[in-house]
Amino acid sequence: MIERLQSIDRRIIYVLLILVIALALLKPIGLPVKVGPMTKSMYDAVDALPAGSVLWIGMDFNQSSKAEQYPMLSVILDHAFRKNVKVVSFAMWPNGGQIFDQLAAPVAKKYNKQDGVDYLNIGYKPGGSVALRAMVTDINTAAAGVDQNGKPLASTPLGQQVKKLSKDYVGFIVDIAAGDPGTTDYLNYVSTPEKIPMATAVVNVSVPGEMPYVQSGQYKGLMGGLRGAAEYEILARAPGKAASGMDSQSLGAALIVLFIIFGNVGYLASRGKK
Amino acid sequence: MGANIFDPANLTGAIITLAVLSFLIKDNPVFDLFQHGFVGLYFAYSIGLTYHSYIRPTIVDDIVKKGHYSYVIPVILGLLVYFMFVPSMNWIARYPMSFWVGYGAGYILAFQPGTLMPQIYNTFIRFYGKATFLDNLNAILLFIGVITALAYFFFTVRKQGTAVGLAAETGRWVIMIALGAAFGSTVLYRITLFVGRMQFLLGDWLGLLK
Repeated sequence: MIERLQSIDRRIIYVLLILVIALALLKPIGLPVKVGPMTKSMYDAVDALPAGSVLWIGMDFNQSSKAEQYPMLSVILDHAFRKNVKVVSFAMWPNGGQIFDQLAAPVAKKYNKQDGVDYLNIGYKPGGSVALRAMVTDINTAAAGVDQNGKPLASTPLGQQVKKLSKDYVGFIVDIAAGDPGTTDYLNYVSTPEKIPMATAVVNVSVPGEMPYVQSGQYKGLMGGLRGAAEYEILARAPGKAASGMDSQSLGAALIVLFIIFGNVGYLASRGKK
Repeated sequence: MGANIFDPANLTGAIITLAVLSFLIKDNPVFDLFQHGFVGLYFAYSIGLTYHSYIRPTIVDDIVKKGHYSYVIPVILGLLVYFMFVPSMNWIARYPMSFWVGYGAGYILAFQPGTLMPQIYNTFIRFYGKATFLDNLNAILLFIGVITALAYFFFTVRKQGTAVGLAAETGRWVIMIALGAAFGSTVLYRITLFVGRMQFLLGDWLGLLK
């Protein structure tokens, strides 16, 4: 009987998972979320930027990681705009520029910030790390002179102000990345050689690979997955979709752990019989 | 949040999401339709993106309109790759490939040591300094983990009954723990993706979430 635990119909697991996640969204129970040191140090680094300084946001993800990375961008923008920090964004992923426009608009409206004055969306430029490295020399040339929507960079106050991706113009870098090209390109070609401090906001699956760079101090912090976004929302006092999704994620994960235990108990029982 | 059930964008998103999730029950024609549709759409998008991002700006704008004729050289170099489809002349395709490999290796070697050195340094430096007991324990475990994981890949030395063998066996466990952490993160990521879809279905589409 117990050995049947290792062959539970997968559809039963799916149904239970759907129910648990849906119920947790409909009736949140408010499981506590403790802020971790990596998110805290990233928040502190952004918080320490003086008003008027420039935060560079790398938009290296697309819609496939929407659940984790849309809340990350929203909360960072909220934090930066509240602190009157100017934001410049650049995308090595084709959809990054569009996503920035989509998410920046409501936050900019909330804080009465203007496109081209308080934030600038350089948008997607092809070439990956080569285009990124070219930004270090001259943003205008590397971006073919125009922003995400074809507007000349030189026609905007922020485009005139931020000429290079260098320490003289940019105070801090946050790369929101879901893969390659992404965070390691910023680390290799910009942050390390140009000595610009940076942090990263990555999908959950990338967290183990990026953690050594936090421990070595090469990243000033790390926002990892939905959990990291929820922690940042708590710190920034800007609750959003990440915090509201944490109950579902935690209970969903607990259910999967439970079925892994069931499977192992079933396996051990069947081995004992043999 | 109000319901937007018949909003075209939400309705399309909901139908596609449910069609894809129908695979959880079993493979079916509706899932196949949307799977093939997605592949076709992505392929067409990639062609359009490549044309508008690389081909048009280089050939039409830079070479033809602006007269940057030196750009013809990389274009020709790129086109030489297609000689790989001509069996008698496929050696020509090796020239652009060797150029790219050489350029890529030089580019990476120019920058990567600056990033990698702190990683090596950090493996050892935390052994002393102002640290708590847990910091020191973490540093010792990190050191043991790095050395034993490397020892696992010493395939040219005798391991049976030697210190290297013991280190390699420990390294095998360290690698398994690391892979376990990576697997756990992947599972959590997939759950989050599903939570995102449920937030869309229950919130954006049906308007059931506050």
